[in-house]
Amino acid sequence: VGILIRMLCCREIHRLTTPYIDAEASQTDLATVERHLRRCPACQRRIAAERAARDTLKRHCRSPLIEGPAAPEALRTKLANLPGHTIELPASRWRQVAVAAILVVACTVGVLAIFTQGSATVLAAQLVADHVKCVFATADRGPLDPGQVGDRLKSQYGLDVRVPPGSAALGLRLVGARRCLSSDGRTAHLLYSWSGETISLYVIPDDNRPPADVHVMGHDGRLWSRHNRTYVLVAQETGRDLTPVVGHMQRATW
Amino acid sequence: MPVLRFPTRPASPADPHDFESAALAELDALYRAALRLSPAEADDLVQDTFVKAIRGRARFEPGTNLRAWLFTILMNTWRNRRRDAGRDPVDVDSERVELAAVAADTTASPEDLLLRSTLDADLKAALDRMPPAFREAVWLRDVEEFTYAEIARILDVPVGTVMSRISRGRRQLYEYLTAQGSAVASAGGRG
Repeated sequence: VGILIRMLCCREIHRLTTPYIDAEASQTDLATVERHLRRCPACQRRIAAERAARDTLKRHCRSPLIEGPAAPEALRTKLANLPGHTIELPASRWRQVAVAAILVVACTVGVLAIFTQGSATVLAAQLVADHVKCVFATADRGPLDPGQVGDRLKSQYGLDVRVPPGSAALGLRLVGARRCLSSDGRTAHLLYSWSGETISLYVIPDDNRPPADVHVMGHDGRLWSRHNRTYVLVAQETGRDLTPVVGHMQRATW
Repeated sequence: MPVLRFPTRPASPADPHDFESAALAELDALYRAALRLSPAEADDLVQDTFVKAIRGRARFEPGTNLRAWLFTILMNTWRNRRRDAGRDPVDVDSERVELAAVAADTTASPEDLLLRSTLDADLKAALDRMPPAFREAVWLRDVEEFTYAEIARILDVPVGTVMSRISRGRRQLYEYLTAQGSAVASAGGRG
């Protein structure tokens, strides 16, 4: 009976031992643990073991083998020159307003799309709203392997897409992919970094539209169709010529 | 998203440039944490962390612990990646860990066993053997010296779980180290 009582007591004490060792226990718990330890060699050993492990790690943690290498200089330089370092982001309240505005535009455009199906401008506006939302929320994960991205889109969402690779000559990197919910979730959305700017390529299945250049909501959109798919490239309107990028995408998806 | 609050301790960069400098000053610690999580993805994890931190700096509350905030972003990024990949980051055999202290050698004092002869290589091997969930909790406490509350936010678990993981992790570390110490002693005796 005495052993059983002591085991029950020990179980209660175990809950307190770590804060006791780290000096984060309350005065009451501290006194409880110390009172118990005076008559319990097993808990004394338990605490000594935990303390020994902690002290050993503290003693050795700054050795290069344990601590690990410092960050590579190339990564440090890259992070010091992130685009975000020079772009002032809106304060959180304005960010909420911006997101709300995007959603309102997206909903409005969605309703319009029902009544004006086939309009390149409406489609582009719908995708621009999606593009802005995604650029806002997506971190650069690239460069990604186009084959793997294609496989992932196929296995996860059933989207059969030939994913154009990046291009060193154009300063183009594949940095993300997702399923866009337009077209009943059958549209693939590929994100690229083009010399630091995020641009989007949407691939809409079972859709054939004539080529078009549209300018909507401060963005350029280029549409073309091939093999029963419509492709839409969306980029912020900055005066840069999209033609080389469009040519690259077209060649990669022919 | 609620504002994360990390009471106590340094770094309160209100100015954007101070924020960036202060964040970069934590790069090595973040990179090492990322290496422990996934050597192959360390660069990407850290880069994602910085991109998110800079984009979300309005949510950082000046006067609170920037390092803890950055670690939280790093761990969230890691968890999201694992979730995207359909893997479970926590793989813990708790029963075995519970038995660790009981099984430990009780004939010599633990301090003597460890502090006397532990080599860096033994410690590295022992750390590598630990389940990641335990290793990270122990590392955040004993090396990075975060409070239990900060670790709870970083790991997105209750404070009670943090204490439990630290306790189990340390005892497991002790078990591994003493086992390695015995093996070294035996090999030396035979040689």
